[in-house]
Amino acid sequence: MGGHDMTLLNIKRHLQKNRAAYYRTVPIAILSFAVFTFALQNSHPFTSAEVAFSDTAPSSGLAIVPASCPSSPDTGSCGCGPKPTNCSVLERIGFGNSASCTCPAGYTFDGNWCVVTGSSCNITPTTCPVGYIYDGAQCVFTSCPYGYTQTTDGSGNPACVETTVDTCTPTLLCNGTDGNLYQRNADCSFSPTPTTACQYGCTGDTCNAAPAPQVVTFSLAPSLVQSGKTTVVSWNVSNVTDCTVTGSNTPSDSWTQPSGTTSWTGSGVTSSIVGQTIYTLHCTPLKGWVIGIDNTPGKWVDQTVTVNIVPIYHEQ
Amino acid sequence: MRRKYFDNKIEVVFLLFAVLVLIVVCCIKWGEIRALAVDSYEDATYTLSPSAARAYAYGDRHFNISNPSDYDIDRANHFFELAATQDPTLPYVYHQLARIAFLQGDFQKAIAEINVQISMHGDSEPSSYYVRGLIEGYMGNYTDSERDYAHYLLYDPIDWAAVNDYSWVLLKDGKPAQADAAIEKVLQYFPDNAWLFNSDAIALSALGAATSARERIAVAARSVANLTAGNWSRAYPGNDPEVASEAVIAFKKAIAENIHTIDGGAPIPAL
Repeated sequence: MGGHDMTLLNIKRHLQKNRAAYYRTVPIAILSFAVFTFALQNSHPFTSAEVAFSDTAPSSGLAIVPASCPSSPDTGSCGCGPKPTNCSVLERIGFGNSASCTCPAGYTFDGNWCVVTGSSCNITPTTCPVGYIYDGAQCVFTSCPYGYTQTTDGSGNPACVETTVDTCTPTLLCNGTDGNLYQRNADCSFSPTPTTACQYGCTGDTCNAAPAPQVVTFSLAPSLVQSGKTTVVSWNVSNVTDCTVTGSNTPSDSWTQPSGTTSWTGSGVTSSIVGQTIYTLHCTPLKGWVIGIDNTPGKWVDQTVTVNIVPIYHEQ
Repeated sequence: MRRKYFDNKIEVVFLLFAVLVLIVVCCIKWGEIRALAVDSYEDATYTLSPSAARAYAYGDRHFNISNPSDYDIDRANHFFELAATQDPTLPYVYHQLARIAFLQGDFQKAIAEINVQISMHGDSEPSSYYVRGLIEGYMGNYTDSERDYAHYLLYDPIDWAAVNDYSWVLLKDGKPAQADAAIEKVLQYFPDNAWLFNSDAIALSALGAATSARERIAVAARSVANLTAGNWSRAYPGNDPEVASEAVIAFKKAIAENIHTIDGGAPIPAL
């Protein structure tokens, strides 16, 4: 017999010899695992301070109910803002099918929501049928886009079917490939070259605003040193110009962002630290960064990090 | 011979019974088993390759509602704290810690965390002002809350929740006219929002406009009748999806009580 056959035979003999033990121990082991599994606790449900919270209005005693829609950084203002209106699909000629909707001033349609111009939604949009918009919970019918005719489906719900398009509404439309605005003509043709060049891309029929400044890192390592030693300042910022990192020491340590760049990553070894020293990161946001419906220019907030020296104690 | 056959039969039945019990328990406890597997994977991968980004991603997985079965606020807090320890400058890490402390009812901790967040990131992450306004409102610091909500509204003026919550603290601060004005500016964009119409009804009631208040609360009542657990979860991110149904019932009850107070018990007229 070969070695393989001998192994199988040995296994078979072992099982036959210890059959009684296996018939007892294996079910016990299985039942033990089942008990362990049954004992696993579900961390749900968690009832937060918001569930069932209402605040009593002065004098009337009426219940005011606050919400918290835009508190999550994952969704931001997605779904908390105004619903898009007057939606129409970009024509089949040129940029393919995508929705173009109208949002109030200060907001831009990003394909699913009206979002604050310059911001973005970080949630994966739900795909809805043509003519439907996802409102955060379900697909809701708005209207059939240009080139589609409204009808009803087998369940009686509104549905859009494609129709022949003879003419188009002249308008500016965003080319998702190069991020510029092109003029769509009444005969559904597009201008061969961009009508408006957008520095930060475009959405719908408008150019995007400048992105907000981002401070990825600004740190000191180490932040506690012996007197006379040095430390390393590190920074990583984007969407900014004319940044400087300056120290409060004398003479002052200083580093400057290269001109012509909009992001700056680097580090620098400080001069000898002889006392508490504060390093300040000051930048200028990109031109065109605005906040709010009045397009108020955004304001940079200086960032600081501090290095201290190890105190020296003298025994009496 | 006969006894041996009988013994074997009992043992086989016992084995089959154990397997059946295991199958039933696994079906009942599938969620917990999956959670245990996910948690074990996260702990192992983080131990092998710790990083602030990984910790933040794991925290986010257990906190947002993209997958309700993963919701675990304690575990989310654990990972966000790890992320903050690894890299305090990580965007939104203190924002998330503040939200968790707020949801857990620890408002002092929440305000401390959000203050760190705002001192580090300021206007580049404006939703932090909204969260601070929310925490201050729950703490009863209505003046500070008004300031922070107003600051957020500069960035996102047509946000129904921000306007609703701003009107809440204005009402608590004895400013019903301002509360009504803030809501009236955006009502056109949210013609079926139960929160806004409820708050506006309260503001109008405080101003003595009984008829308008009655109209507003009627709209709120009709809107809330269609409110789903999904809608509620959307309006209150970070909450356990399993309590959404209970929360919707509580909201409906609050509006029903408001109707009773505003109407004096009269039925709501249909449109």
